[in-house]
Amino acid sequence: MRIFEPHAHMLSRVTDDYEQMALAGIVGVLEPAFWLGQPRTSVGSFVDYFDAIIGWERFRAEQFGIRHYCTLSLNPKEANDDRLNEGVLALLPRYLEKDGVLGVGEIGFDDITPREERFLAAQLELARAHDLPALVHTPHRDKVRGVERTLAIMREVNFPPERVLIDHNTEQTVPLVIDTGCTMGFSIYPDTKMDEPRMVEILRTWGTDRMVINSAADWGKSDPLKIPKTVNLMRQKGMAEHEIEKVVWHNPVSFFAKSGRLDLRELDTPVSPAQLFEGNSILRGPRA
Amino acid sequence: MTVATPRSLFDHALEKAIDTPGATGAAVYLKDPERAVLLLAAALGQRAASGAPWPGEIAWANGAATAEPLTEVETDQTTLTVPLLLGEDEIGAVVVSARARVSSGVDTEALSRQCRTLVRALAPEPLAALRDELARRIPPPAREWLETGIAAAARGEPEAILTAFPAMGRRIGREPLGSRSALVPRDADIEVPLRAWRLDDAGRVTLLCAFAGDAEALAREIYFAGDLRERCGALRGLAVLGRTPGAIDAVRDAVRSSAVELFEAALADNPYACRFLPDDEFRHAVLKAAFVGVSIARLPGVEARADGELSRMLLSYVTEREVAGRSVPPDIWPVAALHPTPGLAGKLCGYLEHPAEAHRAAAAQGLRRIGDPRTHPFLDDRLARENDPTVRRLLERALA
Repeated sequence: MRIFEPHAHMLSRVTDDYEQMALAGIVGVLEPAFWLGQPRTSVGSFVDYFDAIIGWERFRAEQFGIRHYCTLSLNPKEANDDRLNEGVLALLPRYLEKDGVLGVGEIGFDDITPREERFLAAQLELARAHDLPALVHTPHRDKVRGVERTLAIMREVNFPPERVLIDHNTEQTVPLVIDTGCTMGFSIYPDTKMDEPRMVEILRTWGTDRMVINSAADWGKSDPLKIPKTVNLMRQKGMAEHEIEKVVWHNPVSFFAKSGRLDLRELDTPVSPAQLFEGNSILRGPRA
Repeated sequence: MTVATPRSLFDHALEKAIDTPGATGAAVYLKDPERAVLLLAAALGQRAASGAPWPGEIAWANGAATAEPLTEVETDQTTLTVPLLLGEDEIGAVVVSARARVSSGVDTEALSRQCRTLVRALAPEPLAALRDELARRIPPPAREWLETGIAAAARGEPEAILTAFPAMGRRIGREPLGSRSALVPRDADIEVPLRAWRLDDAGRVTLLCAFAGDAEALAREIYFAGDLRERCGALRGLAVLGRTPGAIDAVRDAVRSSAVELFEAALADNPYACRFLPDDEFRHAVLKAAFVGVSIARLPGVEARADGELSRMLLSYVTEREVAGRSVPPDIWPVAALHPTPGLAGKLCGYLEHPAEAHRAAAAQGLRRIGDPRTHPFLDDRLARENDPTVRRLLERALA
């Protein structure tokens, strides 16, 4: 089964992960821009980070036969840092036009502050200006309130819900989002957020329309194989193959195809790992 | 420099052409945009044979049977036809008529050079030329999008260019442009060949050409904020628009890079880099071109800037490759031969026997430049067995 992983911070993962992901059927991965664990202190760090995920990381993924795309934004946590927020917002118009950028994200709420609200609204406007969908992070704390505020701001700026993916949903938030027209993301984590059995239950309860799942793998305790592992459980629980494929392929691909920049033929073409990135290869030892 | 009218340009070229020994007259013919014929644009003096007027149109090439345009000077008894080439694109020809058979002693290279100057003076402005190239190759929606960008650039809005640059490949395509022509920067007797350009390169440079502001500074800014393709576009923009060394740090960055695509855009067919890099950096750039497989013949001005130190570096590289049992690029020979190192003539005599035509041709060119009569027996020996017509011609020239 082909899998599109719509949320993984691959910059923080090792090459073994790419190899395992490719073996498990993942052919495309989307890397949303986020914070780095260690807070940044200058806009220049964002420049290098954006350059890395549109350049080197894409190349690295291709070495393992995986197509790599990204969304770019000022993340909610660092939207609160006045050393960064305005400067990063000013960088974005140029970066949002780069190849392989399929959306604006992750944007949204962390502590639900006035600054976070302001930069969420401003970045929804950027998404509109660049004709891109938006990937919205929902907070770890006070999640329900965060989802409500997100939906309210979308209405305020009149951003079309069918171009929004609201991520990291739980049983509590599904009822809020299900009728809005937004795509709903679920991050399957080893311990927190959402696990495989709960996920299968949600899909059985609410159906598979506009539902996507991801690993949200990053530098924390996370597992980039959570999508294939959830697929296993979906099968064991008797979900039809076409329903599974809808959740792990058609839904995420058709959502990001709204950017107009996801070349489906390219996605179906095997990647040739023979190229070099700026003359470098990550393959060690003599090459054929 | 004042812009000359086409008429005086023609007259100047024709006066030079008519200086050819035995010439009675000369005429300029230019390509008809609609049909595969050449139309009379200007004439001076008489056609020798009958004194009859110059025909209003002639077929491509001398033999009417073939529609193949000329790429080399051709002599046909009493006429000498010099192609007018813009890049590798034939835009016309200068025909020189003589009373008797045109002697083989005519300096056709000087005539070709004068004709190049005529072509460059006739060439359209880069913006118009690129618009025309693209109009024939991209669909109407892409053209409209680009025209919107051109209009914003002409209003002096750098932001429009900055956001259009990364989107260019998606908007108008990334395929090779497929042009044989060249751009001629304003008020300059140089050419920027388009042979290696892609559609997105042409689109990006179009916007820079249209910009009502400091395009050189903008190209530099874009270079340092761009991805690989944007950087290539910025460097190709500098090839056409660069007037000062102000953006040379972008070229330096590209020359340091190991990305061949970027290195090539910085140097190959790029007069900006080759004009403003200091001597020592230029020599290293030439050496790196040979090393990464970019033909050093594509570096504009490489012959004018070649010196003994460059020859030494190139030959040292050749030795290193030969010791390792590896091949060397043939275009090194004509450049190294401009300032020959001891033993180079002997080495080139050896390369006259190389199985690859390109090496034999380049060795013959090099030996012609060295002009050492001791090499003649080897040139004669090879000529007696040489089957390739290009190599034969070069061997004959080296012996002349």
